[in-house]
Amino acid sequence: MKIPNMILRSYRELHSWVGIVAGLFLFVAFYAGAITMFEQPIQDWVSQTASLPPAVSLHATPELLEKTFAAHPEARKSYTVYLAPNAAHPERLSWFLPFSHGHVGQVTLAALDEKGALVTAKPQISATAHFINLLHQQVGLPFPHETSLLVTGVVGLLYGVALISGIILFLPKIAENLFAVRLTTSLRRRWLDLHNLLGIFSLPFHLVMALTAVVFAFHDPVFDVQHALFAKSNPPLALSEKIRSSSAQGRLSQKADQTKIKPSFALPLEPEKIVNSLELQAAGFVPEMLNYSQNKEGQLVLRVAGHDSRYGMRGASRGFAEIDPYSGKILSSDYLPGHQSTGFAILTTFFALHFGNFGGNFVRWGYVLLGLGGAFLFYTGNQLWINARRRREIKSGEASSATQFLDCLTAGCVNGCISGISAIFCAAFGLPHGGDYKDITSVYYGVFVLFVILAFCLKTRYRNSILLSLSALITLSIPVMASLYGHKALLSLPNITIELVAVFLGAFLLWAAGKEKKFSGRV
Amino acid sequence: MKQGAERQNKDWFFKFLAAFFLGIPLLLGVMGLVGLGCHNDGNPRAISSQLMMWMLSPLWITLLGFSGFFRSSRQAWGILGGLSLFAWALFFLLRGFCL
Repeated sequence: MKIPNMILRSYRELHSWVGIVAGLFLFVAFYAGAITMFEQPIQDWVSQTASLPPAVSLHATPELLEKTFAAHPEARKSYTVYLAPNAAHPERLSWFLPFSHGHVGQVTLAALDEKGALVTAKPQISATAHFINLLHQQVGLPFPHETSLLVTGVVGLLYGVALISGIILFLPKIAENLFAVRLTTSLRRRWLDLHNLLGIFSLPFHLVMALTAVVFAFHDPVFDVQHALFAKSNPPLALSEKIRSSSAQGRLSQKADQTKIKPSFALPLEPEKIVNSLELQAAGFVPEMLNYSQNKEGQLVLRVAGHDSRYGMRGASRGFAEIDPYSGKILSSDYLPGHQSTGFAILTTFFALHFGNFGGNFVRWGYVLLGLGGAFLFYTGNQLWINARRRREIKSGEASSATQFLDCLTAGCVNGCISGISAIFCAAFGLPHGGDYKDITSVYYGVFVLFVILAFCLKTRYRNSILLSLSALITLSIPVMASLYGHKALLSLPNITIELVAVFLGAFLLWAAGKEKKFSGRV
Repeated sequence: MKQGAERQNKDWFFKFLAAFFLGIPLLLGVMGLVGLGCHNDGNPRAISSQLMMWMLSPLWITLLGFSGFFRSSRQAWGILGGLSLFAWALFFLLRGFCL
């Protein structure tokens, strides 16, 4: 393929420009996203386990439900039966009470002691893992969620453009450059080769991320447009039908209506029988929890969440089935792995490719590596731009403030993000209840802003090595804090894994700091 | 000749802006036509609504990514603007017939 030189040159400018605008946002999104791959284990690790008597058997769960509803009638509105309680989650039953004035709701756990009396507990869940997930979704911005998502969408578009323009630039020289990593020649060549290698070999992953990120970000506005365009295009006869079907419950309640839910005095089927009936209808699907709630008409609705390691799933780690709570029959299998129609299966594939939930922990770790590799790709991109400009400036003898500014900003944001996340891991052990959302937010942004200010104050010669050493120090204090103040068994698998990762990352940062010191001033 | 090349080289930014800002009405217009074609009723849980939403992001990214191949920014604004107007005119015309 021959692309005119003029177009190639303009694509080089386009590639640099979108890379510089989106690069730092993408660094935060990928670094936080890699950590979010293990959101649930991390949340369990930093949160205190609720002290509850051992869970009642599934067979005895109706008794627990009866006693809970007698003492707390409000629990009927929204409750969950857990099918596989474990050490981190010893509860069999929980209920959820949404606060009316827009606050986050409160979960209460319920169990029975040896004498059969009801025991309840409110779990103390650290906001650390959830904060990192939101940081990932909002590309590191502290604005309200909807506003941040619009920025995320635009960043996703720029990211997609960076990928396309990167391919267009790389294509003409693909044969000579593909496997080349010239570590010895100039610093610029080294960054360029690393950048190309990472970019080409993780291209499918990056294309998936760019496409899905844009969809996730513009999800709600697009549905609003669709509603405005199509909702009234139906013949007026079907109007009443349409309003019902586009209400919150949508297709599911419509289907449920057709199968005629029994009157409310009928008792729902016992959880054990639901599980048995589900096993007959969807073998291979491992149900994890039964979510009961009431729809607008006051009818009981049951959604089963679980996983099936043979298939990708619609949620971050679970698929769902809508079930008739009175007969155990599956009402909707739109999101049930392995039982979806072709259209929904295609959609679920996109979600699964973004979440990396289709092959157990092996694929999850692969996604962690790809995510960190992506973060590094954006860092190398910024380094390339800075080094190229600096070379030109040394030749012409004029230093530009733009190069200086981006150099400081890159060092500040990258180290600020790494240190901020490491700092909230450390702080979670010192803060009450593992840190609520507000505390965690202030710790992260406090550290982040501090690093950015430091980056602008430090001299170019020491900047990178000092900031990297500081990041290493904070990251290495995670295992120290966890050992001193952690309440979890020191030898448990999640504990060892997280501490090893922290030590490894800390060592890498120290190594990079040493390298920076050696190379500083070279271009 | 050299001056022309220079201008061409700075022009990429305006081509990109054309693809960004006119991409919105153009692709929403296309979505409108597809939605009419598959009798979408605006229910976000319907499969056609979701597939249409997923269609937008690859199209928009492709449009932005290949915007550099327009001959000039003026051509980019002209073509994309014309196509948007055409898509929306066709949409309202067809929707009128459907009603």
